[in-house]
Amino acid sequence: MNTFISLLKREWLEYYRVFMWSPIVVFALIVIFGLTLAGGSGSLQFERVDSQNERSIQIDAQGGDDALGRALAGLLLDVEGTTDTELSARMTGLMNLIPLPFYYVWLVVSLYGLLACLHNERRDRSVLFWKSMPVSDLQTIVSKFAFLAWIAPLLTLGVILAAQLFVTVLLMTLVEQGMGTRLLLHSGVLMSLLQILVGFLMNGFVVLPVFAWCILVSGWAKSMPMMWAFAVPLSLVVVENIMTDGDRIASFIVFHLSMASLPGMSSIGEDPFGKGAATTFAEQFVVLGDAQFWLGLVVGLGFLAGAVYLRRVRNEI
Amino acid sequence: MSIVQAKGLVKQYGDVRALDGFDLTVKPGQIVGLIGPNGSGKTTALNALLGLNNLDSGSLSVLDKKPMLQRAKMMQSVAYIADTGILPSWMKVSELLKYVAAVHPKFNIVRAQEMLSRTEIRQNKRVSVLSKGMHVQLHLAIVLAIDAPLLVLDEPTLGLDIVYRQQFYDTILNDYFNEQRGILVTTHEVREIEHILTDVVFMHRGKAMLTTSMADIAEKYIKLTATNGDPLPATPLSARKTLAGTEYIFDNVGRADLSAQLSPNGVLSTPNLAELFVALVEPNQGVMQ
Repeated sequence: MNTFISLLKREWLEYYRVFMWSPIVVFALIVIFGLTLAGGSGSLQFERVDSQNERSIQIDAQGGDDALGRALAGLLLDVEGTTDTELSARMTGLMNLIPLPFYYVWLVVSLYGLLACLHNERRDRSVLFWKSMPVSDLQTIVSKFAFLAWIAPLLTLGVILAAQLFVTVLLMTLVEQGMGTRLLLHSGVLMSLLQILVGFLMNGFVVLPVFAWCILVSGWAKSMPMMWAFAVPLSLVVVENIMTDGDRIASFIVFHLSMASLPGMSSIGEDPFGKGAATTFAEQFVVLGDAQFWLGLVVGLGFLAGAVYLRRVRNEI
Repeated sequence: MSIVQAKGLVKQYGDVRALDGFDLTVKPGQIVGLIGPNGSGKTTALNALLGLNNLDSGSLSVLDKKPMLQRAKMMQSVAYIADTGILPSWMKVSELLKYVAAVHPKFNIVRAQEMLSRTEIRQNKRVSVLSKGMHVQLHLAIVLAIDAPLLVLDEPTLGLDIVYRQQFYDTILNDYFNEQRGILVTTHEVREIEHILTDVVFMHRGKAMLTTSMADIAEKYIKLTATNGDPLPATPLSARKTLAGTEYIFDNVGRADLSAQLSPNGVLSTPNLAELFVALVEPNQGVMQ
């Protein structure tokens, strides 16, 4: 167990910079975007009007097509006339939308890291050093997967919290006078963070076959692991489509990349005023009822076993 | 008890038999040199006993473990330095030491740090900025801080300055080697290590062509340098013309017998490993290295 924790630390040392900086860059973009909105440019326009010491807000109709814009509009137009429960639900929904870009950053960086992990160590021959340590290939592979699936998201979580607080504060300055504190109290930040944590826990199992596939390709390919990782499943999808007119492989891949357990993901493309992006914990576990989930576990474990075998027999390129 | 026990190892790559019935034994107190040209199977043999390669057949045990099946456990007791820098370049020296300390039960970090303090390597530096010489010094500091009965060195001084090379083997002898430990070393620079070896294995086409102790070489092989035309006391293994005359290498000829028949110009000596290797493998070719 101690060895395994040390291996996670090793992964941490290799990846913490990229996992800290990539969400920070995205956060900076959100801040710039948010300030631009508040500043009155962009597709969604706010205007503060000071009449009789009461602020009111005008929202440009162009914002109507934008999910985030409509969510904001819904909140901003009438905080006072909204019940606490409703406000909490709406705010949680909004807070759940904020991490969406961070999920994708995590996914892209993780896939990149997985495709590089066994390939790079073979290319620079450091695999010979790693293998000269009393660490088994199984421990090595599992630690790489576990780090990217479950530990790396925690690095992102801090930045997500900062982004959520930023948006909350931004909204507090925009809503009706005296409603700022009420908005903060029902901001949904804590609930959202908890749901994100649960979401990532589940999501680690959902992405298993995709992540394990990337490790396998990384251990197998002599060059261009990224090309192989995409080309092989893409070819299978095309072949299946031509041969059987089916899309089982495609839907399998889409399911396992959907990040469906993460709050906010299921609401993409849906009306945030309807069900909203608010998620119940039960909804985060819906994937368990899907056969794709269990099939993914089996396939993923198979890929992991293959990756362990390749780590054992393959050395420098 | 042997540290390494290899018998009849066979490994085939396509048409090439990298190992063709290779035998090797390393016992405590031995420094065994594995000598052979490129392609003779040295690296394949080392990889097999480090648990990096599957074998097609043969029996191999290292410290009573099967290397390929029990690599993690075996590597608790085996230290290894390769021919090029294999330490992870993205790590800082301090991070690397902490990592090894965390995963290796027989690693003494204080000893490694103490050895590094005698070098110019600073612990806050990344491995990538270290020179080739420093890289080897760092790896050596790590390896010598591991209490392992077997040390495997694969061309460890390749590309190193002469000063580092000398220091490298001095350090190994002074700070690592003792009667309980064994060293297996491969190198092209045969002259550099022959004075520290206790035993030597000549490898040729995947086989151990000669396995002998250094002491036995002096007993069994004799080099005679004589002017041309001198009558030879026996049929030599090889003959090679040099400025000083012709060098003949004999085996199984008593030194006394040879001296008795020697012409006034003849000089007797013990052949070095390079000369002996060439005499045995390619008697009519030039000396390797």
